[in-house]
Amino acid sequence: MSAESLVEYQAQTRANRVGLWLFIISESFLFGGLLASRFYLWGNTRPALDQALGLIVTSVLLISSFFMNRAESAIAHDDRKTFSNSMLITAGLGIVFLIGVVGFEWQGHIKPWDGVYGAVLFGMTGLHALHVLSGVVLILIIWNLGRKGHFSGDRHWGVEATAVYWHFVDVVWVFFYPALYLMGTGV
Amino acid sequence: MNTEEVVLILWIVAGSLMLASVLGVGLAIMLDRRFSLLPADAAKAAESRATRVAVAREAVPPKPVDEKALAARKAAYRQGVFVLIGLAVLTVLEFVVATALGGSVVFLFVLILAKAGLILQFYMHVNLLWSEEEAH
Repeated sequence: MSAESLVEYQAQTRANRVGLWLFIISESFLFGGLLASRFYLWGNTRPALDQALGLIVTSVLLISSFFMNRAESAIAHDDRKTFSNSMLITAGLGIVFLIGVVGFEWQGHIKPWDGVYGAVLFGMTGLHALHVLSGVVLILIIWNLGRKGHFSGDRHWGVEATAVYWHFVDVVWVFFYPALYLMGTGV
Repeated sequence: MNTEEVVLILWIVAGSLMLASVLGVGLAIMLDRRFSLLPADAAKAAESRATRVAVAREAVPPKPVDEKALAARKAAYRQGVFVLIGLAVLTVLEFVVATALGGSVVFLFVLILAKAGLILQFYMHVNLLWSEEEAH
Protein backbone atom coordinates (compact mmCIF):
# COMPACT_ATOMS: atom_id res chain seq x y z
CA MET A 1 0.00 0.00 0.00
CA SER A 2 1.31 3.46 -0.85
CA ALA A 3 2.14 5.84 1.97
CA GLU A 4 -0.60 8.21 0.82
CA SER A 5 -3.41 5.65 0.84
CA LEU A 6 -2.18 4.25 4.16
CA VAL A 7 -2.32 7.69 5.76
CA GLU A 8 -5.79 8.24 4.33
CA TYR A 9 -6.86 4.87 5.70
CA GLN A 10 -5.51 5.78 9.13
CA ALA A 11 -7.30 9.15 9.07
CA GLN A 12 -10.54 7.39 8.12
CA THR A 13 -9.95 4.85 10.89
CA ARG A 14 -9.64 7.65 13.46
CA ALA A 15 -13.01 9.04 12.35
CA ASN A 16 -14.54 5.54 12.40
CA ARG A 17 -13.21 5.04 15.90
CA VAL A 18 -14.98 8.16 17.16
CA GLY A 19 -18.25 6.93 15.64
CA LEU A 20 -17.86 3.51 17.21
CA TRP A 21 -17.24 5.00 20.66
CA LEU A 22 -20.30 7.22 20.34
CA PHE A 23 -22.28 4.05 19.64
CA ILE A 24 -20.66 2.37 22.67
CA ILE A 25 -21.61 5.35 24.87
CA SER A 26 -25.23 5.19 23.70
CA GLU A 27 -25.30 1.45 24.41
CA SER A 28 -23.87 2.00 27.89
CA PHE A 29 -26.86 4.23 28.73
CA LEU A 30 -29.18 1.42 27.69
CA PHE A 31 -27.44 -1.09 29.94
CA GLY A 32 -27.05 1.57 32.64
CA GLY A 33 -30.85 1.96 32.71
CA LEU A 34 -31.23 -1.79 33.23
CA LEU A 35 -28.64 -1.75 36.01
CA ALA A 36 -30.47 1.14 37.71
CA SER A 37 -33.75 -0.79 37.52
CA ARG A 38 -32.06 -3.73 39.28
CA PHE A 39 -31.07 -1.57 42.25
CA TYR A 40 -34.46 0.16 42.33
CA LEU A 41 -36.55 -3.01 42.14
CA TRP A 42 -34.37 -5.49 44.03
CA GLY A 43 -32.83 -3.12 46.57
CA ASN A 44 -30.51 -5.03 48.88
CA THR A 45 -31.90 -8.43 47.88
CA ARG A 46 -31.28 -10.89 45.07
CA PRO A 47 -32.82 -14.15 43.90
CA ALA A 48 -31.11 -17.44 44.71
CA LEU A 49 -29.11 -18.08 41.54
CA ASP A 50 -26.56 -20.78 40.82
CA GLN A 51 -23.31 -19.23 42.05
CA ALA A 52 -21.07 -21.79 40.37
CA LEU A 53 -22.77 -21.21 37.02
CA GLY A 54 -22.42 -17.43 37.39
CA LEU A 55 -18.71 -17.74 38.08
CA ILE A 56 -18.19 -20.16 35.20
CA VAL A 57 -19.95 -18.03 32.55
CA THR A 58 -18.13 -14.94 33.82
CA SER A 59 -14.79 -16.71 33.50
CA VAL A 60 -15.70 -17.92 30.01
CA LEU A 61 -16.50 -14.39 28.87
CA LEU A 62 -13.30 -12.95 30.37
CA ILE A 63 -11.22 -15.65 28.66
CA SER A 64 -13.02 -14.92 25.38
CA SER A 65 -11.98 -11.28 25.73
CA PHE A 66 -8.38 -12.41 26.14
CA PHE A 67 -8.57 -14.38 22.89
CA MET A 68 -10.25 -11.48 21.10
CA ASN A 69 -7.38 -9.24 22.19
CA ARG A 70 -4.93 -11.91 21.03
CA ALA A 71 -6.63 -12.02 17.62
CA GLU A 72 -6.43 -8.24 17.27
CA SER A 73 -2.76 -8.18 18.30
CA ALA A 74 -2.05 -11.04 15.90
CA ILE A 75 -3.53 -9.37 12.82
CA ALA A 76 -1.80 -6.10 13.77
CA HIS A 77 1.47 -8.04 13.59
CA ASP A 78 0.54 -10.05 10.48
CA ASP A 79 0.28 -13.31 12.41
CA ARG A 80 -2.63 -14.75 10.44
CA LYS A 81 -2.66 -18.22 11.94
CA THR A 82 -2.96 -16.93 15.53
CA PHE A 83 -5.59 -14.42 14.36
CA SER A 84 -7.71 -17.11 12.75
CA ASN A 85 -7.43 -19.54 15.68
CA SER A 86 -8.09 -16.87 18.31
CA MET A 87 -11.18 -15.58 16.49
CA LEU A 88 -12.65 -19.08 16.33
CA ILE A 89 -11.89 -19.70 20.02
CA THR A 90 -13.54 -16.36 20.91
CA ALA A 91 -16.68 -17.26 18.96
CA GLY A 92 -16.72 -20.71 20.57
CA LEU A 93 -16.44 -19.25 24.07
CA GLY A 94 -19.22 -16.80 23.23
CA ILE A 95 -21.45 -19.73 22.30
CA VAL A 96 -20.49 -21.52 25.55
CA PHE A 97 -21.51 -18.37 27.47
CA LEU A 98 -24.87 -18.33 25.66
CA ILE A 99 -25.45 -21.98 26.47
CA GLY A 100 -24.63 -21.29 30.13
CA VAL A 101 -27.09 -18.39 30.40
CA VAL A 102 -29.90 -19.49 28.09
CA GLY A 103 -29.55 -23.24 28.40
CA PHE A 104 -28.96 -23.45 32.15
CA GLU A 105 -29.69 -20.20 34.03
CA TRP A 106 -32.94 -19.58 32.20
CA GLN A 107 -34.09 -23.14 32.91
CA GLY A 108 -33.85 -22.60 36.68
CA HIS A 109 -36.68 -21.95 39.11
CA ILE A 110 -37.09 -18.24 38.20
CA LYS A 111 -39.25 -17.44 35.18
CA PRO A 112 -39.78 -14.05 33.42
CA TRP A 113 -43.27 -13.70 34.92
CA ASP A 114 -42.06 -14.21 38.51
CA GLY A 115 -42.45 -10.58 39.60
CA VAL A 116 -39.57 -8.14 39.75
CA TYR A 117 -36.93 -10.86 40.14
CA GLY A 118 -37.91 -12.63 36.95
CA ALA A 119 -38.42 -9.40 34.99
CA VAL A 120 -35.07 -7.87 35.93
CA LEU A 121 -33.10 -11.11 35.60
CA PHE A 122 -34.48 -11.94 32.16
CA GLY A 123 -34.39 -8.31 31.01
CA MET A 124 -30.72 -7.91 31.89
CA THR A 125 -29.45 -11.31 30.81
CA GLY A 126 -31.70 -11.33 27.74
CA LEU A 127 -30.50 -8.06 26.31
CA HIS A 128 -26.91 -8.97 27.13
CA ALA A 129 -27.29 -12.41 25.53
CA LEU A 130 -28.65 -10.73 22.38
CA HIS A 131 -25.47 -8.63 22.23
CA VAL A 132 -23.31 -11.71 22.75
CA LEU A 133 -25.15 -13.46 19.92
CA SER A 134 -24.67 -10.51 17.54
CA GLY A 135 -21.01 -10.35 18.63
CA VAL A 136 -20.51 -14.02 17.76
CA VAL A 137 -22.06 -13.47 14.32
CA LEU A 138 -19.83 -10.44 13.78
CA ILE A 139 -16.73 -12.40 14.86
CA LEU A 140 -17.52 -15.19 12.42
CA ILE A 141 -18.01 -12.69 9.56
CA ILE A 142 -14.70 -10.99 10.36
CA TRP A 143 -12.95 -14.35 10.72
CA ASN A 144 -14.21 -15.32 7.26
CA LEU A 145 -13.07 -12.01 5.76
CA GLY A 146 -9.68 -12.44 7.44
CA ARG A 147 -9.42 -15.95 6.01
CA LYS A 148 -9.91 -14.44 2.55
CA GLY A 149 -7.11 -11.94 3.18
CA HIS A 150 -9.13 -8.77 3.76
CA PHE A 151 -7.01 -7.61 6.69
CA SER A 152 -3.33 -6.89 7.24
CA GLY A 153 -1.11 -5.33 9.86
CA ASP A 154 -1.75 -1.89 8.38
CA ARG A 155 -5.45 -2.32 7.55
CA HIS A 156 -7.59 -4.08 10.13
CA TRP A 157 -10.29 -1.65 11.19
CA GLY A 158 -12.92 -4.39 10.93
CA VAL A 159 -11.04 -6.51 13.45
CA GLU A 160 -10.48 -3.56 15.79
CA ALA A 161 -14.17 -2.57 15.71
CA THR A 162 -15.28 -6.14 16.38
CA ALA A 163 -12.81 -6.39 19.26
CA VAL A 164 -14.02 -3.13 20.84
CA TYR A 165 -17.63 -4.30 20.54
CA TRP A 166 -16.82 -7.69 22.08
CA HIS A 167 -14.87 -6.14 24.96
CA PHE A 168 -17.77 -3.76 25.58
CA VAL A 169 -20.11 -6.75 25.91
CA ASP A 170 -17.58 -8.12 28.41
CA VAL A 171 -17.49 -4.84 30.37
CA VAL A 172 -21.29 -4.88 30.60
CA TRP A 173 -21.13 -8.36 32.12
CA VAL A 174 -18.43 -7.15 34.54
CA PHE A 175 -21.16 -4.87 35.96
CA PHE A 176 -24.07 -7.31 35.58
CA TYR A 177 -22.47 -10.36 37.20
CA PRO A 178 -22.00 -8.88 40.70
CA ALA A 179 -25.32 -7.00 40.46
CA LEU A 180 -27.23 -10.20 39.70
CA TYR A 181 -25.28 -12.86 41.56
CA LEU A 182 -23.30 -11.26 44.37
CA MET A 183 -24.83 -8.06 45.74
CA GLY A 184 -27.58 -8.15 48.35
CA THR A 185 -29.09 -10.85 50.51
CA GLY A 186 -30.46 -13.97 48.84
CA VAL A 187 -34.23 -14.45 49.07
CA MET B 1 -45.39 -3.15 41.47
CA ASN B 2 -47.82 -0.21 41.54
CA THR B 3 -48.42 2.51 38.97
CA GLU B 4 -46.23 5.07 40.75
CA GLU B 5 -43.24 2.74 40.61
CA VAL B 6 -43.78 2.06 36.90
CA VAL B 7 -44.00 5.81 36.21
CA LEU B 8 -40.82 6.40 38.21
CA ILE B 9 -38.96 3.74 36.21
CA LEU B 10 -40.19 5.28 32.96
CA TRP B 11 -38.93 8.67 34.16
CA ILE B 12 -35.52 7.16 34.98
CA VAL B 13 -35.28 5.55 31.53
CA ALA B 14 -36.49 8.73 29.77
CA GLY B 15 -34.10 10.85 31.84
CA SER B 16 -31.19 8.55 30.97
CA LEU B 17 -32.02 8.80 27.26
CA MET B 18 -32.27 12.59 27.42
CA LEU B 19 -28.99 12.81 29.29
CA ALA B 20 -27.41 10.49 26.70
CA SER B 21 -28.69 12.72 23.89
CA VAL B 22 -27.34 15.89 25.48
CA LEU B 23 -23.98 14.30 26.23
CA GLY B 24 -23.85 12.79 22.73
CA VAL B 25 -24.50 16.11 21.01
CA GLY B 26 -21.97 17.86 23.26
CA LEU B 27 -19.39 15.20 22.55
CA ALA B 28 -20.09 15.35 18.81
CA ILE B 29 -19.55 19.13 18.80
CA MET B 30 -16.36 18.78 20.79
CA LEU B 31 -15.03 16.03 18.53
CA ASP B 32 -16.02 17.98 15.42
CA ARG B 33 -13.92 20.89 16.62
CA ARG B 34 -11.07 18.49 17.27
CA PHE B 35 -11.28 16.33 14.12
CA SER B 36 -13.47 18.35 11.71
CA LEU B 37 -15.92 15.52 11.07
CA LEU B 38 -19.19 17.20 10.16
CA PRO B 39 -20.14 17.96 6.49
CA ALA B 40 -20.14 21.75 7.09
CA ASP B 41 -16.43 21.53 7.66
CA ALA B 42 -15.78 19.16 4.78
CA ALA B 43 -13.48 21.59 2.99
CA LYS B 44 -11.58 22.25 6.16
CA ALA B 45 -11.38 18.50 6.82
CA ALA B 46 -10.10 17.84 3.30
CA GLU B 47 -7.46 20.50 3.77
CA SER B 48 -6.50 19.02 7.10
CA ARG B 49 -6.31 15.55 5.57
CA ALA B 50 -4.20 16.82 2.66
CA THR B 51 -1.81 18.38 5.15
CA ARG B 52 -1.60 15.12 7.08
CA VAL B 53 -0.94 13.19 3.87
CA ALA B 54 1.77 15.63 2.83
CA VAL B 55 3.46 15.38 6.22
CA ALA B 56 3.18 11.61 6.24
CA ARG B 57 4.72 11.32 2.77
CA GLU B 58 7.81 12.92 4.21
CA ALA B 59 7.87 10.82 7.33
CA VAL B 60 6.59 7.31 6.71
CA PRO B 61 8.62 5.15 9.09
CA PRO B 62 10.43 2.19 7.61
CA LYS B 63 9.08 -1.28 8.37
CA PRO B 64 10.82 -2.72 11.42
CA VAL B 65 13.20 -5.59 10.94
CA ASP B 66 11.79 -9.02 11.66
CA GLU B 67 13.36 -9.38 15.10
CA LYS B 68 11.83 -6.14 16.30
CA ALA B 69 8.43 -7.10 14.87
CA LEU B 70 8.65 -10.47 16.59
CA ALA B 71 9.56 -8.86 19.91
CA ALA B 72 6.67 -6.38 19.57
CA ARG B 73 4.27 -9.22 18.79
CA LYS B 74 5.44 -11.20 21.83
CA ALA B 75 5.13 -8.10 24.03
CA ALA B 76 1.54 -7.57 22.83
CA TYR B 77 0.63 -11.20 23.58
CA ARG B 78 2.33 -10.99 26.99
CA GLN B 79 0.37 -7.88 27.92
CA GLY B 80 -2.87 -9.71 27.09
CA VAL B 81 -1.88 -12.54 29.44
CA PHE B 82 -1.07 -10.13 32.28
CA VAL B 83 -4.43 -8.39 31.89
CA LEU B 84 -6.24 -11.75 31.93
CA ILE B 85 -4.41 -12.70 35.15
CA GLY B 86 -5.42 -9.36 36.68
CA LEU B 87 -9.05 -9.90 35.69
CA ALA B 88 -9.02 -13.45 37.07
CA VAL B 89 -7.60 -12.30 40.43
CA LEU B 90 -10.19 -9.50 40.72
CA THR B 91 -13.05 -11.88 39.81
CA VAL B 92 -11.98 -14.41 42.46
CA LEU B 93 -11.65 -11.56 44.98
CA GLU B 94 -15.17 -10.41 44.05
CA PHE B 95 -16.56 -13.89 44.59
CA VAL B 96 -14.78 -14.33 47.93
CA VAL B 97 -15.81 -10.89 49.19
CA ALA B 98 -19.47 -11.55 48.29
CA THR B 99 -19.81 -15.14 49.46
CA ALA B 100 -17.42 -15.50 52.42
CA LEU B 101 -17.07 -11.95 53.75
CA GLY B 102 -20.65 -10.72 53.58
CA GLY B 103 -20.29 -8.62 50.43
CA SER B 104 -19.77 -4.89 50.86
CA VAL B 105 -21.45 -3.21 47.88
CA VAL B 106 -18.92 -0.36 47.95
CA PHE B 107 -15.96 -2.73 47.88
CA LEU B 108 -17.59 -4.77 45.12
CA PHE B 109 -18.04 -1.59 43.05
CA VAL B 110 -14.35 -0.74 43.52
CA LEU B 111 -13.46 -4.18 42.15
CA ILE B 112 -15.94 -3.77 39.26
CA LEU B 113 -14.45 -0.42 38.30
CA ALA B 114 -10.92 -1.86 38.47
CA LYS B 115 -11.91 -4.69 36.11
CA ALA B 116 -13.71 -2.35 33.72
CA GLY B 117 -10.71 0.00 33.77
CA LEU B 118 -8.33 -2.83 32.85
CA ILE B 119 -10.51 -3.87 29.89
CA LEU B 120 -11.07 -0.29 28.69
CA GLN B 121 -7.38 0.60 28.80
CA PHE B 122 -5.65 -2.57 27.63
CA TYR B 123 -8.24 -4.44 25.56
CA MET B 124 -10.39 -1.62 24.15
CA HIS B 125 -7.48 0.85 23.75
CA VAL B 126 -9.65 3.80 24.75
CA ASN B 127 -6.56 6.03 24.72
CA LEU B 128 -6.44 5.76 20.90
CA LEU B 129 -9.39 8.16 20.81
CA TRP B 130 -7.17 11.08 21.71
CA SER B 131 -3.90 9.68 20.42
CA GLU B 132 -2.46 10.14 16.94
CA GLU B 133 -0.67 6.79 17.18
CA GLU B 134 -2.08 3.57 15.78
CA ALA B 135 -2.82 0.53 17.94
CA HIS B 136 -0.14 -2.02 18.83
